[in-house]
Amino acid sequence: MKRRVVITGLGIVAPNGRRKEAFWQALNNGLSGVRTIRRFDASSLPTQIAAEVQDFEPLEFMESHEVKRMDRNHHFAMAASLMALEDSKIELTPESSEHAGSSIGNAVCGLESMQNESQILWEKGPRWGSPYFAIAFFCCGANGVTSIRLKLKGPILTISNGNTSATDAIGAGFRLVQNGRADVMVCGGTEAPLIPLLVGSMSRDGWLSTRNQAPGEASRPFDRHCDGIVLGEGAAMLVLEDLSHAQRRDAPIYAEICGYQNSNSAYHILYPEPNGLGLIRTMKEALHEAEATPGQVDLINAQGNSLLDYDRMESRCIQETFSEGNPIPPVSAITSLIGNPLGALGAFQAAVSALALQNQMFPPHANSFTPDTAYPIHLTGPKAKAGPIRVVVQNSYCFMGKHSTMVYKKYEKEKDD
Amino acid sequence: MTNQRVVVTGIGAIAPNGIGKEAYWKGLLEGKNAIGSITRFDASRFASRMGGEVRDFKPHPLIPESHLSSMDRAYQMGLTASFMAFEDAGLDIKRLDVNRAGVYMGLAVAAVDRYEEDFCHWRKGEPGKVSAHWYQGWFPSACSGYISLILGLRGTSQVISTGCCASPDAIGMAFDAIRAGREDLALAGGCEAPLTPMAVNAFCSMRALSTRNEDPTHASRPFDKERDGFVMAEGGGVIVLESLAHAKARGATLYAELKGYGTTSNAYHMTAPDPSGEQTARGLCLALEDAGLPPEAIDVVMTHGSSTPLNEKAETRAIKKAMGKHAARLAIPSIKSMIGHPLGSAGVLQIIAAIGCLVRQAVPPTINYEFPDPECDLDCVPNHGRLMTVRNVLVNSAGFSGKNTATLVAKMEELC
Repeated sequence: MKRRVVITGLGIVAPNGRRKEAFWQALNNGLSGVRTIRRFDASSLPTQIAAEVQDFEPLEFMESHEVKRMDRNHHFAMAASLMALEDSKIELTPESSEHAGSSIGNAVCGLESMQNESQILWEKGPRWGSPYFAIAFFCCGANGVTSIRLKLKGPILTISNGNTSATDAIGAGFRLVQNGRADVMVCGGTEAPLIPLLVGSMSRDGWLSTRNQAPGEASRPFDRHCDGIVLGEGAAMLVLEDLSHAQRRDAPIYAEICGYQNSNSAYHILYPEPNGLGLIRTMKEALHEAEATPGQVDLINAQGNSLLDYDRMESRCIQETFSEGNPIPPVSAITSLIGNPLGALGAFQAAVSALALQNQMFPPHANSFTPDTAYPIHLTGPKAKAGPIRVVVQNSYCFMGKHSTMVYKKYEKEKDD
Repeated sequence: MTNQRVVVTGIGAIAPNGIGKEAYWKGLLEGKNAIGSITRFDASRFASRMGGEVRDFKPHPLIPESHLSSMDRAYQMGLTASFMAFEDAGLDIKRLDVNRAGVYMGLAVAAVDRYEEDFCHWRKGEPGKVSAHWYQGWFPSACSGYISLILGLRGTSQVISTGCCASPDAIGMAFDAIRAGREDLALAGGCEAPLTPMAVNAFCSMRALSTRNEDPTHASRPFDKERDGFVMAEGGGVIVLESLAHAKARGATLYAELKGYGTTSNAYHMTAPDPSGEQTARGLCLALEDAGLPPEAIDVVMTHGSSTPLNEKAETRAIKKAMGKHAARLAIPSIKSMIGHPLGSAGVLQIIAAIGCLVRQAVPPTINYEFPDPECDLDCVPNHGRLMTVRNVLVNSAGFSGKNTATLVAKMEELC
């Protein structure tokens, strides 16, 4: 018997707001997190903008010796995980912690630490290497430091699937709670990819927006004049919990996770498959698992890369999945406000899915100036609007043909257990 | 849907002491040592200068040339092992529902072998030399992506990066998916090619590696009292997992049944094991419970046995805790004595070794065993492999941040 899985906590470190309240408010007010890069001098690069997390003080969440040893993506993960656990009001005992784990998505590993260590190693020599570098650099480092801090003794997973990492990490956590391998999973994603090498080479290769003069308008998914991805950073964490476990402790419930599917288009390393089934398959299968029809979906929480060919792939898949006699549900891509934090994006989307269902509000979609007409879809618009919302579909995709879809429902107690 | 039974029907192994399952199993049973001085880069200034290199590795001929130049060595090994496993399983892509065939790969580090130098180019102010689209080849995501793409599999494609537990966690995830009926078949395993200046030095700086540089062939000595750290290695391994029904329908060779998976975390320390071995023991118990087997059903524990002073003490304690009195009757070899520690692919190479035990009815030795350690007093099969009855093997893996993953593979007898 499959168990029901609900979301009972949220923790957020976003470029436009820290903690779920500030983040949700920023989204509702259409506050963009995209600005001129401050972390390094980007003035000589084609792209000089990103969605940076500014005014974030890791010392609020950890000791100074820990801060120094860790990569920036660990700081984000630690802060967001602590907030999520606090928000869920869960109190883990030595016994219950054996049934609590974490599943975190991360696409690029400790890139900033790699860059710094490279400098030290080649300028000063191997003996100057840091004993903490392996931890800082490994993909699983963030999850390691946070799971130890939270004393989680259940399954600890790190998923590295590029842009779908966090959606897949939440999917993995969903499965583990569903099949009883865990009762509680802290799930999400963390990313800190803003180093000169990545920003510089991605913009050189034509993937990034160069709208340096208008940062807030640079990330414009599904707009005909979009000119590239805007990189972002940050972390979002969710507490996933077995429904009966959550009910026993009278936990706050944001939403229920009801379906998940990941697939591969096996088409090309960099480009989407023309006319491919990709997201159509994952959306249909995840909806099937969730026992929902396309007609019941109220909101599509899209990835929206702000790259025309990828956006058209997504809007075409949305059209084909939802076109059977029903109006296409409104689409929102929060990348329009927080850019694309790669392996963490799916976790921000998940937080938005949960908040939309809890608050019964449609999240906004910014920067739709000249909507692309190749596959017309209905975007939610710059202002948040009131619901009703019962079913949300969340899409993720990335290079290497990976696609993932997650389906959430408004939490209803009376569904047969 | 009721639980599907999950069987192993294909094996691809690229180990420092043997490429291909037959050569690998033969190497293991004969105690073939593969540790030597590092030749892949000039390691003369490094504290540890040894490694388990796969010296005669050649990428599979069916990998298109256009992909090879941008594909990291680790991903080449993963893809080559996938081709080997796919062929070994006698699979025909045309007769497969590719939408229900997934890929689950585990690795610990990103593409350091191919892309480490790009960090240097940028640092030296030579951005023009940075490879085009290097990031897509750097992302661990590319590992499973290349396999799905080049083999044409359109099911799930996941990369699990849980340090040295990565490949057994990938296999565990595939196991759950097939068991629940979400997929018919999966390629699962791991790969790693971390013998690069930055990755080796990361572990030198941590003082985790053996410094017996003057005597590499005796450097990796799990359970021996004089062990002084692990020896880094490279390699890849992939197995084909399939639901029993699917395998039978196509008349596949059944090597073993995957019966149990369990994973826990110490929540104790990033790099040191918990000396009590409590959570490691719980991992082993979870795998037993998952398989519905008592400790007495186990004949061999294929250990993590990394050759570090702390690991084997804790691991011995954990095995005793989980297996009770039966621990004394178990064979608990460590293949790392021969191949070193290939991080994320260590676990799948242990699992393939465990399948070898079931198929050959024999256990490989722990070589380099000279001085008994009173705290490691179980039977590690010192120096010489042996023939014995093997019904079920538990495989134990330990990873970064105190992760423990156990898998249980069983002989296929009742179906043959």
